[in-house]
Amino acid sequence: MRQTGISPAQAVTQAIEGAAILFLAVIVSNFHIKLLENLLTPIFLPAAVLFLWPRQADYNTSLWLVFVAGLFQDLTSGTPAGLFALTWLLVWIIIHIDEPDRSVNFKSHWMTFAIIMVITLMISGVLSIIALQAFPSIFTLALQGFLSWLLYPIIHFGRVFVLRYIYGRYETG
Amino acid sequence: MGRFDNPRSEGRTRALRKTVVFLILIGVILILLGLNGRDPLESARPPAETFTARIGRIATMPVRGIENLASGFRDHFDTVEENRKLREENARLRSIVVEDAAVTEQVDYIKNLFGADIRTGVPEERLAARAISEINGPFVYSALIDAGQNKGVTEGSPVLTIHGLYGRVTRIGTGSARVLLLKDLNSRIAVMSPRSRARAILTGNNSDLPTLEFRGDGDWQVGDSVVSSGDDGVLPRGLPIGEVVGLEGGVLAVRLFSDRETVDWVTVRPFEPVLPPEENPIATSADQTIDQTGESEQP
Repeated sequence: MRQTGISPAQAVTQAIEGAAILFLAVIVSNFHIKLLENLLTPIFLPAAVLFLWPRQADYNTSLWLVFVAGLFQDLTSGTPAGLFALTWLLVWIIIHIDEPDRSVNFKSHWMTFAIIMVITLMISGVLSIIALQAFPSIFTLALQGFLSWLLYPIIHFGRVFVLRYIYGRYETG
Repeated sequence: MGRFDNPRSEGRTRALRKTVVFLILIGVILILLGLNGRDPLESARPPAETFTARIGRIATMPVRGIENLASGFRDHFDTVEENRKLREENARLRSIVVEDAAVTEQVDYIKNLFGADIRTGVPEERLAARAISEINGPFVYSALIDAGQNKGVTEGSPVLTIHGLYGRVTRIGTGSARVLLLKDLNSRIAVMSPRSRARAILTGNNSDLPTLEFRGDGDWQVGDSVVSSGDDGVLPRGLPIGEVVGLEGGVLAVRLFSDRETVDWVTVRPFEPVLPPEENPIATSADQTIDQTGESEQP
């Protein structure tokens, strides 16, 4: 929420800050990782950035930026137009229906993110049935989701590092 | 929507709701416009892909380096076993080379005898490229390679790994190209069995094992090798693809040769697909004659 002590301009800046990390995650999510002789692509990694979206970011700006980042992922990953744009928009709205409790420890964050990942997989699965007119492979979907969940700590601690050492902010969650 | 900007005025809440509905609508419209193989963002994709390819070329360097290092260590420990296998393979290949020379001689003889032009149509030109990003499902199976118009890649060209066909180019950017993999839901390739000459369509299904459809009464057996038939005029004939495996319910699938190891480098074979004939070839030919003579015949 835009709390007292933060101007509208600062709230917009925080939304842009979140979007910058989101775009980075979208680019990273396009590159495959070789894991136990399998090629996996962490296409759902941006969900971690949505989960850790700056607390005081402007809502309206955030909505637009999340949608545009999703469109960018559609463009770069070759998925049907609108699939990730709509997925990330809906996931972001669901995550931010209520203020997530950021005072809890990392483990709880990671577990909560698992629930967010399941929601993400469900939304993207349903949308892909419409967009592709075919059922996606549940196994592959779950595997990609699991990989993105595994990579969550990188986004989490990377964000903590950036906030603490570059911006001087102590926002742990 | 209780997270930001609390407490909000009623007007602002209404505005935010409108934004949410508007963006969801745009998303839904985009998805609907993209049905049946259409792509509303088609023109925007190549520059975005070229941008990602440029970043990927640099960003994936350390990752590939670590992978190669790990692979190097593994190879080091497997050297004795690998050496034995290579000796066996070498002996087998020597006999194939001898057989190949004999067959080539026979083919040349027949070619000269009948004056036949026997060609497989496999393009000789090869363009090396790196597969920068490979999306392995669940929605698409495609790859981004770092060669595009700048290197002479053309749309529809087959892309091969050292083992076999990997996919074909569906979109070209300045310095990148999107390759639709054989496993993708939208991939359809005309294939044949070199043993029985039976034809089928290799249909991608977003899994590791694309299936053989429209087999008719063709003689397909588990273990048959599968090559492109060239019947569709989209790909040249004789590109190695994979090996037939049996699945439940009598379904035949193909284990792709390109899946044998991680794809890093690929070769693009620029290929001119066979174009459909003109609607009125005689008229076209007459027009050309007129153009050449500079006169038109009056009825």
